[in-house]
Amino acid sequence: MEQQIEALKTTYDWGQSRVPLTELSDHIRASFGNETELKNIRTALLSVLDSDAKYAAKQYVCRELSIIGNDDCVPALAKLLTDEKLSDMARYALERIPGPAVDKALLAALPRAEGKAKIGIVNTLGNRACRDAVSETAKLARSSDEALACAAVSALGKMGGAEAANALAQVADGVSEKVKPALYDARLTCADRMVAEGDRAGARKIYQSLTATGVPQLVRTAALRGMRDAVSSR
Amino acid sequence: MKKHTYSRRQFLGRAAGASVAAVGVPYLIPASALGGQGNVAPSARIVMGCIGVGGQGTYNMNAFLRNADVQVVAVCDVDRDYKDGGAGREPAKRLVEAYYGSNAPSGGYKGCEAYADFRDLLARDDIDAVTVCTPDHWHGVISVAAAKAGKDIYCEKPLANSIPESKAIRDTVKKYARVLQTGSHERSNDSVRFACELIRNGRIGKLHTIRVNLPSSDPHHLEIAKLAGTSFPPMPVPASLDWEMWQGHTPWRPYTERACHFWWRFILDYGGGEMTDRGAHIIDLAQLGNNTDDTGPVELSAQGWRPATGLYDTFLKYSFECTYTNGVKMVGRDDGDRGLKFEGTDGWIFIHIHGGRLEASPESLLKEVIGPDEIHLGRSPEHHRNFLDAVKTRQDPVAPAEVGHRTATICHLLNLAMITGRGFKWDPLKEEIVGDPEANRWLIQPMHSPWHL
Repeated sequence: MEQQIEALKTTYDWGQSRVPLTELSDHIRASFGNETELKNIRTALLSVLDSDAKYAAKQYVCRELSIIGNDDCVPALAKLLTDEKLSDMARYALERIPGPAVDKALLAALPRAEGKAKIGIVNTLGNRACRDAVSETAKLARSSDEALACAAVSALGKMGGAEAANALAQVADGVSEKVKPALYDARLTCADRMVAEGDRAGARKIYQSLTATGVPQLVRTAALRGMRDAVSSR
Repeated sequence: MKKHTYSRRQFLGRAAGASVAAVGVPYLIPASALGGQGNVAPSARIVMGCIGVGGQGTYNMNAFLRNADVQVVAVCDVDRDYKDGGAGREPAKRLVEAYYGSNAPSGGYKGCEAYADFRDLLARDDIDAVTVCTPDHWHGVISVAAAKAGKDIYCEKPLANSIPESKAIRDTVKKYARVLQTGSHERSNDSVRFACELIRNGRIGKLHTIRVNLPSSDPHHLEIAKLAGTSFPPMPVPASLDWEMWQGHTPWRPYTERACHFWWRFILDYGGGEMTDRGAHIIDLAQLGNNTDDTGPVELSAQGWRPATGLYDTFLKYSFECTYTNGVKMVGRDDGDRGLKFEGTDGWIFIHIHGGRLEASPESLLKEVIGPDEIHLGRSPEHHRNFLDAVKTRQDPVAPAEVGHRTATICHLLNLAMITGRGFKWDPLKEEIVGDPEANRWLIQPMHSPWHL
């Protein structure tokens, strides 16, 4: 493994032989279930992230860590969340690593991140349905940056639960026309999740508010469908 | 971005109404525009936009153009013009305008917009339906956005390039009650539907094995095999192409033409190789014949070979086995005549792909008649036409989102079994790999910012 790690650190780049990468991936595959060896591999991969390796090599490392990474890998990946070039790949790995350490790292990076990196972190928090992030995400739903606001309301919908539902209801009057479709969709998603979690009363309240005059027909129909399904799933 | 306050239908309806009130129909509106002489009135036409107009996208666009009740008003592609004017948004726009122009009294027509960004096309509220014929890695994001925008969707197969993406398409289409046709057009062959009726009505006895032949020996496969291990250096991005947008949510890489048009299907970030390419046709018919359209196998295993280096990383050689809860086994290999053989206790039927030519044993099976009280699978006039009819009736077409999603799921799970080197137990209800948390991580599809489902 040392040889392959060295190649990653010093020479590998786009358009060059992937043989060292393939050999390393084969070794990872063969180590399935061998926690001692996987720990060695993680340590070696993290050392690449901490080196002057080229972007192509670090991208490969993040792909592998997305599958075998654990809490030990979170600090090194979290450091990259605000890196303009590597933020997406850091999230690529973190999004697949289970556990609260990742959520905490994402939340900690959120205030420091900007632009696309910030939107990406919001997306990942939403995809992970991280309810600890509801209040921070709700603040971003009011952002004047419409792309960020859209990402934030969508994430709130995926997080689900009463707190996210309230946050979405509160921002409903203040969002721009461009954010409104994302908001409607997020409220439907949130209600659907509440039904799945057994909070039919909470979901019904959202669905009903989305059948009001002035709400687009597409959304009203979806809300009526949601209400019907909520009843039939009893 | 263009903003249309009224839909095309609303506009035409109001305009026609005003004209009628003012001066009467014959003087201002030709009969052809109102549906006379075999034409379809504009207000009754399905207004379409075509997203992704390369080879397959242009083929689909042409198929829709030739339906009198369709009006294509927009095309979209991140490449302005390629293949010497044979593909891209500007050639597609010219093609649409030439087609309608040839039928217009003036001989000219200017009514098709060309967009570089699908979001601009989806923002038009006059468009009823879209085609999504981009590389596979874009199917998920675009189809989900299209359903949220209230569009009906004809999406090329495989439905998406990952399980979570096709699942999101299925769920969003259901949420907004949209019609979606997966481009697995073999389902629209009469012979295929007849064969599946024979199987589902027990004419081959009890079905026990489905043998899938998914050869990888076409000229383009041979070219890829020849290039296995070749690393293509980065190249300057052509002026007509938005390479960043082409890559979309996938991990960034520098441009090289061999990663882009057509050849993307042999790079896992963008496609799944032959397993998801023709696999999405053949395994799709296995699902139809096995009556498992809304579910899937419960065990899968696969072995494969792919190049250890070079640009291409999909599997070029493979064999696989799937087991369903009804005991049926689906076994696959990368050679033989392309198609699938349903084996039962009393006989077998082979469906050739493409086209649906049938062979059977005993041969007399193919002369059987399906009785009125037996299972009938219906017929499709043609795959695009079937979609248009579904848009009008709001009924499911022959390859709805659930069907496309379940077929794509099997193809992706087989690729995953080869990538990880181990087989899985699959829970088709929860849509999870059973007892393998590491493998389940592959069922999460992280996306580069700002994209998400």
